[in-house]
Amino acid sequence: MQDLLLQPTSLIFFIQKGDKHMNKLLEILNEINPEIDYETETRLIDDALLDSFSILSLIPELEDAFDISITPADMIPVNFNSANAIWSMINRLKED
Amino acid sequence: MTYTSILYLSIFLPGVMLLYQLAPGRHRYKVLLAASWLFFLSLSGKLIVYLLISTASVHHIGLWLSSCKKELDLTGASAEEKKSLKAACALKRRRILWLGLGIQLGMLVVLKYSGFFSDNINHLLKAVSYPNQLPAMKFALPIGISFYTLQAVSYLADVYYEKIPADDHLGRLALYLTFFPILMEGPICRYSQTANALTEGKPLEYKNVTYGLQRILWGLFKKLIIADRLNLLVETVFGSYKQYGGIVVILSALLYTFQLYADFSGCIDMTIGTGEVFGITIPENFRQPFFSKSPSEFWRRWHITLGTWLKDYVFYPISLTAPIKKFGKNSRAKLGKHVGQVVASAPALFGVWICNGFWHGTGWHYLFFGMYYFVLILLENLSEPYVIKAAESLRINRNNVFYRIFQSVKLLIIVFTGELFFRAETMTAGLSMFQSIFTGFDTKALTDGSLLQLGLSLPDYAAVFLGFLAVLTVGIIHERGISIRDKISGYKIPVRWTLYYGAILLVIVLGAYGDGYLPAKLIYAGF
Amino acid sequence: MHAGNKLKTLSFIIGLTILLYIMSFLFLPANTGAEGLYKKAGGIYKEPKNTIGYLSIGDSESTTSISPMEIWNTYGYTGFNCGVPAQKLQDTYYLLEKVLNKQSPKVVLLETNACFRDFKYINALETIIDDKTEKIFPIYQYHNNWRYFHFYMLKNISADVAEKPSPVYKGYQYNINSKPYMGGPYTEETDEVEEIQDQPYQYLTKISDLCKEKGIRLVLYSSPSPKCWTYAKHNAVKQFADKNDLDYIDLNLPSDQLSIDWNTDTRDGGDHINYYGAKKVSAYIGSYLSGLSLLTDHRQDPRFESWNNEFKAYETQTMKSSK
Repeated sequence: MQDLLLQPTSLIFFIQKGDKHMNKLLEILNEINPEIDYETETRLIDDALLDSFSILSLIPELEDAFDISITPADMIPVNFNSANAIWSMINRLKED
Repeated sequence: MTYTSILYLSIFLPGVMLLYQLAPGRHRYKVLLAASWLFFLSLSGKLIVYLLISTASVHHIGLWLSSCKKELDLTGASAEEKKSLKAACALKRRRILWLGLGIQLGMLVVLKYSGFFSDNINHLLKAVSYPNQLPAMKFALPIGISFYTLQAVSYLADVYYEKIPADDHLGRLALYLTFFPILMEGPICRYSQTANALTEGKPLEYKNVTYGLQRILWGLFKKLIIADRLNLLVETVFGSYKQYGGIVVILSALLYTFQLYADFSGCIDMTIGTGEVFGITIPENFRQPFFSKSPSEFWRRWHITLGTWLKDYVFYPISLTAPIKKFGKNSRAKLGKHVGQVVASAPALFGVWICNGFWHGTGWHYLFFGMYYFVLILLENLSEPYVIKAAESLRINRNNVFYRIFQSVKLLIIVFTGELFFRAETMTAGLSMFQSIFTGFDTKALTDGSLLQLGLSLPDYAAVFLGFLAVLTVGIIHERGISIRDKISGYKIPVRWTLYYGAILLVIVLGAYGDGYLPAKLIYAGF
Repeated sequence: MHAGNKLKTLSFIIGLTILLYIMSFLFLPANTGAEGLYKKAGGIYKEPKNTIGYLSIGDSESTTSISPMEIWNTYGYTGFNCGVPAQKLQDTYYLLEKVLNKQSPKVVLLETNACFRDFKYINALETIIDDKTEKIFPIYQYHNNWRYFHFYMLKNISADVAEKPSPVYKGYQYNINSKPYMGGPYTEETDEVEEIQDQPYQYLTKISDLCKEKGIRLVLYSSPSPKCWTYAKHNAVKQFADKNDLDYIDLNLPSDQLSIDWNTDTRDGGDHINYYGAKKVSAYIGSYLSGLSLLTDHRQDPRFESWNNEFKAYETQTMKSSK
């Protein structure tokens, strides 16, 4: 499932489907750090583009905007390395 | 036995390598485990019982946590029942986790800190003239307890958060906790980073072995030529601090910082090099820390594995608890997005720095060290947007050379000051030394020969300077992302071997050991 | 491993060994005097039965601090310096036991540095390995001479190479090498106690018991040594001395009767004193021994004529290079 999300074609698919929500995510990310290109960046954590302070600012925004609850179990790099990764985490948490 | 002793370098390590290579693949990890326990025994003898308790308890608790989840049977349950079963399971798992953490941290706290607590309570009792005193409790610490306990905690937490499955292989878990190169000074490895590689039993490979040995050599260079030599001056000044002031104290803070870096990173080089010899990748712990431009960057480049451990097991867990999330909401609402967010992060950050300070040792000056960086980093986070705005309006380009030099100098002063307190024998000593920088300041000290009265002769200073140039050069090359060992292996044999022989001879000749030098222990092995 | 790699590894190691041998020649000092550690102390077994009035035992701090000939000259007491460099307290105990088979001294002076030489089994092994390495590759032992390299360039080819090792007088090896201690005052008081570890403590007690059993007065003393001594160690020794009712002479503490000049009296920057320091310390100890009134002045005793002869040789040696 994860690999599918990283394909450019599926990105388009998701942007069309969950368009409004994905844009909301991008909006939030851009407020935290506007200098990053979230459409293409896949090493947000690995390359330390988002430090822990930024992540900490991000979490309450995500929780409020998407009505989810993020726990320490979710704090792994693979969940935050790209906009898509964050998106799939959000979706997973919504289901629980 | 320590990583720099001849016994280790010429007998233990080659012996382990030989036995490892001779053993059949699936038994190779047993050689490593036996060697690690032997190493442990040689340093701490019967205290190995604490290590064994840690290992066994972590193993069982891990399996218990995962069996709890497995036994959860939701078939045929209604939505309501599902919810309550899940909640009960979660509660049970949380309790098991606390039990596991209690055992691990309990041992660490009692062994390491009970002396500190009883001393301070006794001082308090004396102050209020209470007649009785608590008995002085001073326990012998098993080697590496501060490191393997953190690794044990990380394993339990990762199993609890279901980031990794529990390991039923006791041998692998045991080796993960005490692999002999990481035993004395870390780095603090995560289970997912090293456990599988440790039991893979790959045969030794020429490239791995040679690269690993080269890295070990570099570590020896830093430790023996720089760190152990500087130890003389540092011991002299910090040991009789009342006699010194001004430039001498400044110099000793600088040189202690250099000693600490050379000692710790040198040991880590030996550790990672040893891992490399066996084909095991051990995480880096340093990334040219003195090129940092801010305190928070410094702590992302210095003792990296401690920083990430605190982030994953203190910072995020605290930040994501319900009360802190609520506190965050309120502060963001009342103080605005930026200030509110900084304030919201403060409790977790405070937790991190209390732990960082106290992890290093029992003493108020360690706590001070932690709080020092807590305040600095909080201020840094708070002021960042304002600094950016101010720079913009003053038309200062924050990327130009002079601004970056300004940031570097600022950071270095912060670090040297922090290390002054860190090394001082007590809080009082630290304050006194800091004050004496100003009260005893006299430029004459540079020329009147007092710098040669501190334990280092002129040739010693020359050796330190040579070491400094070497470390600086290597740092610059690494900062550019170039692998020195790759480069050297590209040269022809005469050039390569000259470099290797030269380095080995420098270590043997210039190493600060033998007649006239104090036997210097590994600094971080004391934490 | 490919054959090529095996060959490379082997030649590298051979090359390194050869290199280390060559470097060792460059670093060997003019007079090695590489005698066995026990050769000096072993002289006691040659002394006639029951002729020794006092002994000094311990490690190199003991070896370098007491010159029995000085005390003989002033007080006529017969003594022997049985210190052995790097000796662990366990070995000191066995040495004492062996010596007491043939001698019955009234006083035994135990230097305290070895009390802090902990010897869990692994350390004994490490010391053996280090010693072997120093023998095989002397560069490991003498590498610190790099600091004097510019002098070597000049002196290297000239005479001095076949100099005789410094002679030994009743266990004390005469040495006037001088390397100043530059560190300044080191005797600041503290309440800290550097505990004596289990193993050394055990043997310290055994030595004390042995002396008590034989009616020998055991005296603990600390040779002046900024490098080895600390006030915390002093406190630990004092505790033991008080507990066992023993005298403890700490020569590091400031005193009117003993003033070590750290510019001239140490041979290695404050670790050990040289002859000039030992002369002062021996005078002090001699005075203390005289105060005990336990020892006999044998200067006029014809049975101890050999001591007077020995002293003549000692005097000649020390006059050659008096301050």
